[in-house]
Amino acid sequence: MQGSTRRMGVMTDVHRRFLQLLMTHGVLEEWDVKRLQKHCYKVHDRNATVEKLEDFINNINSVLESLYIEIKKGVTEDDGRPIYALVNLATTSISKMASDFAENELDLFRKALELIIDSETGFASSTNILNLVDQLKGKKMRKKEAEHVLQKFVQNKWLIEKEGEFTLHGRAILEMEQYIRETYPDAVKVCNICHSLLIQGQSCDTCGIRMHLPCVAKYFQSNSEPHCPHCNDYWPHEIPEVFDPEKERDAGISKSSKKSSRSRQH
Amino acid sequence: MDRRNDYDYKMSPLQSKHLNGDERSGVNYRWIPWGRRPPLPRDVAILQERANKLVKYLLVKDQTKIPIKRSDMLKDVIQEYDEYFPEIIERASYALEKMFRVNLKEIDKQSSLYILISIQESSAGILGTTKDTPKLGLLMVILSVIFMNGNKANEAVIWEVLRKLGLRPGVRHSLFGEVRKLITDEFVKQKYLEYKRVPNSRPPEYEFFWGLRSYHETSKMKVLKFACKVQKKDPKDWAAQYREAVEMEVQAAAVAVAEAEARAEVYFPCLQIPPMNCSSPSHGAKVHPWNLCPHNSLSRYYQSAEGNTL
Repeated sequence: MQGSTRRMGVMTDVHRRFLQLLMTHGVLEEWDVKRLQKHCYKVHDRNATVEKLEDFINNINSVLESLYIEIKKGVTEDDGRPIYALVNLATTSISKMASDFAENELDLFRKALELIIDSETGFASSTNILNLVDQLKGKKMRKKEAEHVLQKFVQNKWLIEKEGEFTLHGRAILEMEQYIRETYPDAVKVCNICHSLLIQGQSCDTCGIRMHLPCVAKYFQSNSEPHCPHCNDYWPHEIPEVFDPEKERDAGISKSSKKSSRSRQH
Repeated sequence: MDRRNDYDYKMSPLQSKHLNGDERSGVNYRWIPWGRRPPLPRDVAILQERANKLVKYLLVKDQTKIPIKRSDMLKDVIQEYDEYFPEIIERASYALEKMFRVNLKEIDKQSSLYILISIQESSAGILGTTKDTPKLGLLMVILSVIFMNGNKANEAVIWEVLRKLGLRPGVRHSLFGEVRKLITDEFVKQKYLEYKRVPNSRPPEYEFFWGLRSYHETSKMKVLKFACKVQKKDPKDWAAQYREAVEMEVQAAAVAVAEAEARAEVYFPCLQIPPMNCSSPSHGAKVHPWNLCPHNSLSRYYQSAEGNTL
């Protein structure tokens, strides 16, 4: 700030309330974030025009800069929904993830993380994770207890569970991408399109390059004959649809009533 | 013009509030008392850096709701700058208020324990519930039982009430886990409740009291209103409790005013604040922890209870 050339934004009570509520929820989808922003204006400054979300967040981030944290925007890997979370700019190691986890619980997360990164699909089965329970650091943990701990991770939005298998929540990816890339440089997979960390995605059968599902959707949008961008071979997988927030709102689908069997990132 | 975002202000540590009235008036800065060399510009940057680290540390540690020990702060963050602890913690406190609207409160002077409390009225239910909502709802019920019972309640009484909610000791609940552990261990560690043995009881009996955090995060008035809502009564129907709740509100308001004035003096030393009655015990010194600070956690549940039935 002394001698900094960037003009620091000004935080008002609108911004503070927003920040506090975002922190409380951990991670939010864009639609909720917009609702939250409107709510904060309503509470503190009814007559002001609601700032564009991007500028609003940049404003907050410029004030948070000195703390090396920021509100980061990401995209869910399975269906391309934009999400927002407060993350550390300095590398977040697992120990900083949250302090409500004991040493053996954090080690369980670490083991699950490694299985997820090494897997072909980006998912680690509950059985495989639980089989590692004997190798955990700290207090001895029984499998039954480990099951509860895994559920705690799901509740705290670090993991997602789908049909008995676990993968990383978008929040975990946002927060820990840098740490993961630094710690597991050989095992880590990267998207051919956006070059970010890839946990779930599609891969080319011929040359092996990978792409996020939302990246596939965007890249092959309205292309009836998709070909691998790297080796030009026919792309064998189903092309997902690009996420359209308008369509979702029009269909009147509320979060809780969506019948999709897919687990949702909330 | 004071730029509040610029941390390069000369600030005295909290001790100097004991300076007498003469030194206060007409002076732009509060100087650090003799015996402590003023920090060099380079040191100020380091102090600020530690304060920033402390802010993040506190935000993460507060997630568990277990009060943070000063010794942990010193060991994990402050380290070799421990003699500057008061300044560092004041800067961290300021940043927490200005950025996150949370107050850093020392709830226990003997053991130097700190908690974070939200300053603002809660935005309950704006985005539905979080994972903490059910537990806080349960806590609210227990706090109201304790208060309506004369500020303490026997364990047996509490279980009678919980049984009506379908909760039993030793039976694992999908939302709460093992309920007995939650209310006698977790809530106690988080300072929401106190769980004490009834003196001279054989076989040993235990009773519950409000914990320090509960006094900070909610108020007797709020809890009274909650109980009334559940029982569909008017707060004035319970005359003794109502009187007590009102008295607490008055006290808390006085404390809030004193605190605000003390802070204004520290952060805006150029303002001429009309000197308070210096013999007042609350002036300048760390005020009594009881404070009418509505908190996100408990009042969030309370407010969502406004809309729905329990």
